[in-house]
Amino acid sequence: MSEANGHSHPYYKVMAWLTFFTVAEIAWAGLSNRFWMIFGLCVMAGIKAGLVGLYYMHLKYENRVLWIAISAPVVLIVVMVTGLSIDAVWPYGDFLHGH
Amino acid sequence: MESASPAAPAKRNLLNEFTRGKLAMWLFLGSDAMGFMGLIGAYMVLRISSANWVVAGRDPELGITLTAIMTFILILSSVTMVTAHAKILKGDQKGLVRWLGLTVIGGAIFLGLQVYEWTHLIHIGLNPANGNYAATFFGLTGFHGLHVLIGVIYLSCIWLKARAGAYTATNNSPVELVGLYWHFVDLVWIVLFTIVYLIPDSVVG
Repeated sequence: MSEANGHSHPYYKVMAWLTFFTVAEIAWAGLSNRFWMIFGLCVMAGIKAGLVGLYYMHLKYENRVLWIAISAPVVLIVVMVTGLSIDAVWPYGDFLHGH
Repeated sequence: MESASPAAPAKRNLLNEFTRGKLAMWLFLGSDAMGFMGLIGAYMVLRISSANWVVAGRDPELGITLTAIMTFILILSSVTMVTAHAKILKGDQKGLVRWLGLTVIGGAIFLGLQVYEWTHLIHIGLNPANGNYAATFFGLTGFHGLHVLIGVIYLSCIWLKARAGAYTATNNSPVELVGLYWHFVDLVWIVLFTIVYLIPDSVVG
């Protein structure tokens, strides 16, 4: 385990950042510009998820075998989200026909 | 003639650097993440392609204050979980029991608040039979809530074993595994909180 390898863990600092980004998200949700609001919320949610994964789930300290094992579902998730997004925005196949 | 050749450096086997249980838990979490993404993907498609996602006068709006508190509680419970694991790595069994107990309490409070939120929303008219807005809301938050419930039961089992002194500084793999599961539940809530609660209805749909 990573602690046994001598790493120091900024658990409480990460908690402070998670709390900060949660409050920032709530404030940001009131932004009138819709594009920047969604973009900002997604970026902040991504940062929070990354902090939990890297520091609390200790991915930052794991070796590449685990990263490879995790990358398979992540790649599939990215493919699915991309496909679904295209389907949602162009529900009648307009994307394929260039309209 | 003497041949004192130096020993060849042992090849590093990365697979030996973590337990099979840990690899299995990560593979499970990966497949579970795909399950969540299936639901979230369906939610995205339905919401973006819907011309009238929330029917004014029929569907109540979702409150952010309560869910922000729930988010904070889940963040806190993640911190108590990592602290519990850090304690047992130092051989502190009492610390493990204390911090693991706090994690169970955090999860139970989250569940209680979710039951309260659901009851309130159903009472003011959010009905899954009314359309995709309510159906996907209950589907997504219910699936996550089920994970929290399983997590609380899982944590309680580990807590009981910890009370019996089953874990030590060198034998604590189950504590690490339940921690991974619990942090994953926290991570998924971070995404759900943003997608379901924070992005207002007027933005998409």
